[in-house]
Order: sequence, then structure tokens, then C-alpha cells
Amino acid sequence: MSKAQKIAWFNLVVVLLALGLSVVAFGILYFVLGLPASRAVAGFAFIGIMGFAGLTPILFRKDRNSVQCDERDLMIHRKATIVAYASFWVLFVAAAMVPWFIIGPDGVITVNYLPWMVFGGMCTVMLLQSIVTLKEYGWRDKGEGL
Amino acid sequence: MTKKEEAWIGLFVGVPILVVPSVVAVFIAYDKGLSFALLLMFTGTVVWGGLLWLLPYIQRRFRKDKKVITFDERDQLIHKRAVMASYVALWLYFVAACVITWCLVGPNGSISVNVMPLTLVGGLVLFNCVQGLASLIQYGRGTKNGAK
Repeated sequence: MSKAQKIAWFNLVVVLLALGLSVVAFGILYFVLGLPASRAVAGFAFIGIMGFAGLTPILFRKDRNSVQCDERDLMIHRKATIVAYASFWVLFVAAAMVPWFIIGPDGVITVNYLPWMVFGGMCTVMLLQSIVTLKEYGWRDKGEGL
Repeated sequence: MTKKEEAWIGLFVGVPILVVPSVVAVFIAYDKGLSFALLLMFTGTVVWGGLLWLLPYIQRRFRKDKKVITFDERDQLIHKRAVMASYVALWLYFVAACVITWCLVGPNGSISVNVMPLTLVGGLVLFNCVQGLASLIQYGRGTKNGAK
């Protein structure tokens, strides 16, 4: 399995774990413990797990003398990044326009909506980038490991 | 028309073409009230504006005279790099706009819903400007772009 594949798998697991735990924690706080929604959103603190994705350069570091990546790796990385950010753009437009449409031009929204947009955007970009990378390389090891 | 000329046109004509309908839609909505047509016009312009970089690929697919090469591998690489640079700038702008607003207003505050479409327009302008500039920088300011 190549370095990019390992990173994609790692990011995919981290994002899904962060999202899954956040949803479960919110569900427990809201439905089981009966906390109000404004306090139960504290369960989304598990989103912080996504910070582990920043460790990938250290965790998947390669020997300096070996080839880090070739043209194919660069091409796949570029494609995955562009697909992820293009999808993010459409979601960004939707996230900005839906409140305007629902509330109307004279309405106001809580400012806490903005960090939620950032987290949503980050999840989308990481998730799609990982999925496209794995789709391009193949989901399993094909014996081409660098 | 060379790619460099296209980049200049994109920078000086493309940006106003996208921004003017968006801003007009926002002001009409603010003045005369919201309507579905206005919303569709604005959303369509903004989505298309952000995906305008797909135009060379679409153009190449539907062009009848395929023997004349107008978009080779080098152009494609430059175009992809410019798009990636634009997305990086857009992402930084998006995070900065959200976090700075949140810090200024405070966690218990609220903002006008009109801030959202204006943020989008800002992102669109930035995206197209960075894309145009990145293309121009990569092709070179002189006449190094190769005559086509």
C-alpha cells in the first residue's frame, strides 16, 4: 500500500470516528440524559479527534533517500483535492443560501452557525479527498507499495 | 487567443460578469423583498462562478474542430495548479471570514443573514482573481507563453 493510500485510510478513519462519536455523544446527552439541545451539542467536542489528521506527515514519514512520490501520485493528489474543494464550494453556497431563503433578508442567525460551517467544510474536504484518493489507487493493496 | 490573453480577460471581464448579477440580486432582494427567481439567479451565478474553471474541459469536449489543439498538457497543468491555488485561497478566506466574525461578535451574538451571500460574493471574487493571477504568473508576464 502506498503512502498516499495509507494517509487516505488514516484520514477516512479519523473523520468517520470523529463524526460517529460526536453524533453518538450528542444522542446520549440529548435523548438519554435529557439535556437541552444547546448543551447537548457539547457532544460534538469529539470533532477535535480530526486534529489527529495533522499528524500524518510525522506518522507516515518516509526515509529521505527513498522516492517520496512520483508523477502518478501527484496527479491523483491533485485530482482528489480539486474534487474535494469543488464539492466544498457547492456545499458552501448551499450553507450560505439556505438560511437566507428560510429566514428571509431581514432575519438574523446565531453567529455559532459560522464555526459549524467551518467544521462541516473541513469534514467534507477530508472525507472526499480520502475517498477519491482510495478510489483512484484502489481500496486495497495491489502490491505496488513504495 | 492565447491562454495568457484568456487569463487577462478572465480577470478583468469574468469577475464583473459574475459579481454584477450577484450584487444586483442581493440589492433587489434587500429593496423589494425575496423571490424565488432572484434566489435562483444569485445561487446559480455563484455556483457557476465557482465552477467556471471547468469551462476549458467542457469546451474541449463539445468543440467540433478537434484537430486544432488549443489546450495541451502544459495548459492543463497550469490550469490545474491555478485552480488549486484558488481553492487554497478560498479555503483560507472562508475559515478567516467565519472565525473572525465569530470572534468579533462573540458566541452569544447574532449576525444579519445578508452577511452570508456577501461572504459568498467575496469568495467568488477572490477565487477568480487568484485563478487569473496564478495563470498569468505561471505563463510568465512576457511573451514566453508560446504562440498559438
